[in-house]
Amino acid sequence: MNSTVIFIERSAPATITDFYDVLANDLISVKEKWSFEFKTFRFTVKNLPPDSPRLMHSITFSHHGNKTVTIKNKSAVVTSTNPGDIPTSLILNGCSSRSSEPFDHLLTSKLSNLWTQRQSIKGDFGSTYQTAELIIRATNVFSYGGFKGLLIELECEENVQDTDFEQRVAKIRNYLKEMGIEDYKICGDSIDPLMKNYACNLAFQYVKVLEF
Amino acid sequence: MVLQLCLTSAIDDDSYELCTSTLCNLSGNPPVLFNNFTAMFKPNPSFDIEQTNSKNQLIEQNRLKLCKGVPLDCLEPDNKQRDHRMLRKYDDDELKGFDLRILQRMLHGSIDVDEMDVDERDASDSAWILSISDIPPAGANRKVSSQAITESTITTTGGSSASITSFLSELGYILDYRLLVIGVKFNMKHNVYLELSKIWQIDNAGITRQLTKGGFMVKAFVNVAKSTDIKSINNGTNALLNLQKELSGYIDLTIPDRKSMDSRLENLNDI
Repeated sequence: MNSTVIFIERSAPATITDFYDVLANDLISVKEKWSFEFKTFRFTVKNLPPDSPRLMHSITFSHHGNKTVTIKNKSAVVTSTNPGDIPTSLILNGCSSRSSEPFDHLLTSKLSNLWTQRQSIKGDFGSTYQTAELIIRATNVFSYGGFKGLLIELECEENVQDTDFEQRVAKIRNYLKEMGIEDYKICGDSIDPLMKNYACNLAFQYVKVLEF
Repeated sequence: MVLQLCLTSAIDDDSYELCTSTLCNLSGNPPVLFNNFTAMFKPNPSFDIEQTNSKNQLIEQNRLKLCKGVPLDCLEPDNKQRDHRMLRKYDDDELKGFDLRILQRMLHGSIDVDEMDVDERDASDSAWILSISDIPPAGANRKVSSQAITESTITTTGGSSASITSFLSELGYILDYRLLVIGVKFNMKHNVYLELSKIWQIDNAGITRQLTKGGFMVKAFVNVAKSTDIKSINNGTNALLNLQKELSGYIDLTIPDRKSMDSRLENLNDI
């Protein structure tokens, strides 16, 4: 499954409506609302080697089963608070007591001497559009109440070739060009080409476009 | 945050057979074999870590506990022998017939690239439970030990260095020590679990040392999902006290030393 994330900082809260109008001819259906939350944590250790990164990001998606992906450098973990996501082997072997807490809570409470939360970016009540080619998720992004920009997530079905997907993304980019939007960040890279972990890749793309 | 209420005791190796059949009759349930591999991580000592956070609150450095089960067929390949009786063979430091490299692979991922391509790693393979436990509160008039545990479920790991160890090292933690627990569990009345277990410590050279040599650790516990749920805490406490009464004279369940349950970095006595 392929994905690409676009972030348009130079936009207005109404840009999302324009985008919807442009897409209108291709639309099959308008689907569920979605949201995400993006948090940045900073490593407070002082004597860190100068070349090692200090930032860690965590992204919670309301789509993809409310999972949270935490990424730092080249490593990522996917955590979940959904009781159904705890593997039964872990419960039967007495590892889990069946009440998971968000990983962010662990960071902000027990590890807050190591990690400080820097910023929180939210996209609430975004729209999902289904076209014949792609699933397009768009939302306005806010940071502490202030408008930050428009975020678009493009996703296709499992069995689509990489080159086909690129063409479909190019089509969306053309639409944006027609709207007069040419200055934006786009990321379709993956954190690890070998292991196709979809949630980790998507989170990595969010980090790339939202990091400022 | 889970509150774990518990009472502990110990029995010797020779009593194991009789003890399991007694508990089996008492609980009305057969014993369930369980095992878990625990890796304790400590903050990287080469870092200069502050004791306070940005709000100037004191944060004591705690160890992180990473825990998951080991597939039973790694311990006992013969399906027929895989029941509570198999624990009798572990009376020594050695873990007979167990390949310790399995644990290495769990923590660090497969080093052999070919091997990674061959076996399709299923999702539960890289799942872990990450938890931090507080020291049980002190107090003379406590009837049971109560420990607050904060836990989080890691369903998968990813990235180009995808092992759980590499993520935790990015988080600022390194491996401290490793334990393997094998035991049997009884589901008693009123959500009380009773475990008889043997514990091994595994050092870096791959040498195992049984911490419970000559006997089994007995632990009776109740998990209460919310630490504010006073009613459940009282019910759990009473259930444990009833069990303590029922077993008294046979297995004397007592409150464990709270200092031995301290996972803070300054406390080194427990290892």
